[in-house]
Amino acid sequence: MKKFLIIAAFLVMVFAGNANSQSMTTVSYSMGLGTGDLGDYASTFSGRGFTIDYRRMVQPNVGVGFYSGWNVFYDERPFDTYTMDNRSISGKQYRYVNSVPLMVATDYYLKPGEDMNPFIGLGVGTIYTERATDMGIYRLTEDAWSFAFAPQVGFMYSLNRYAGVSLAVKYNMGLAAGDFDSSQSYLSFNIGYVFMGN
Amino acid sequence: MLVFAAAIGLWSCYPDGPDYYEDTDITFTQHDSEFDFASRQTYALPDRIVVDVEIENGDTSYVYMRDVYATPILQTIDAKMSEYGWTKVAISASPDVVLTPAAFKNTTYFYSYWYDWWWGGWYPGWGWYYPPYYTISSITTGSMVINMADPNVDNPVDRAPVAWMMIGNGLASGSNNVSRITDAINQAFEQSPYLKTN
Repeated sequence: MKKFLIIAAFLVMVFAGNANSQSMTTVSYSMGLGTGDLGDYASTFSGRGFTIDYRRMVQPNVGVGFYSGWNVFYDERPFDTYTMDNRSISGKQYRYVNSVPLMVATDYYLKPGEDMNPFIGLGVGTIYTERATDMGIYRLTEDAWSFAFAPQVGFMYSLNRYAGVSLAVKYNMGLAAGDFDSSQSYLSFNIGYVFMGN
Repeated sequence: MLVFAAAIGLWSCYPDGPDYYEDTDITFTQHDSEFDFASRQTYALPDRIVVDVEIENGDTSYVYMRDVYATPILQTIDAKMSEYGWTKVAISASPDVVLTPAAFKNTTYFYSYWYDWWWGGWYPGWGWYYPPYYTISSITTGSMVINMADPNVDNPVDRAPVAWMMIGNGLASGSNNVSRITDAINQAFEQSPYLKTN
């Protein structure tokens, strides 16, 4: 009986949660800044990227869903000589990094129901990182599927019942894996449009 | 839909890479770390550069680079060798090393004919080969290639391993400006200080 009550209470909670609830889909323009090893490789601030976040509200102040996106980093290195063992190669380098996070994510909303609603969140999953170094016609490609985290802070502002805008900063951290000896991380600054649905 | 549009938008602003043909110019050098360059003094260099081979009714004839291009290239090689303390001698004077420049008009079957040219044409009875750690597969159409080898070999097949090589990739294509090739030769010597005998 006690067990039944607990389960019932839980179900009521879930249904109650579902009843008022909502889902939020945020599509953001995402700007990136490489940090750590990724930042050493491509240090320029990148305006190329987008993210998509989906959250289903399981509580008025807790959303669970997924996070994905695509950030591109690009950098050039001037003419220089790179030597490895008995080989040397001179030329300009063009560097590209593509980063695609795929994560399950939870956000905690500090002021649910209010127009201005700050949140903090965490995503856990993987980041696919592909790094390509071009010299002349040669391309060196390194890639990895890394175990990854993405904590974020931000806020959203409700425009009406169905839509809002959001600003969020995510720190995307992929642990060392595949071709990379060190973690591949970057900050992303996301300006998004929020679709609120039922 | 939005994601799709965003993806297309992203492709359209994907970073550019090289702006000019010259930005793709690269100079690759590789050397045999066992080879003692400093103990050698003299070299031989042909006065023509082979660029292709034509086969007609079983007869092979070689195609040479026009003098307007070949002369500055050969002069550049002579200048750099002289700067590094080498003395030019005729092939009959048994030089310590021979240089074998070529420009690859195409790569499919040229290699073995290039070899035959030295064997039967320029340096009779003499040949060379690439040690297994050399990456000749990276030579592409339009590349300038120079090999250095010691012809004073004493082995049953009279073929000497290549001691030093340079590849200027793609330099001979796309532009009729010979300075890209001579720049690459200068760069090749600059990044190979072990060639100095003085």
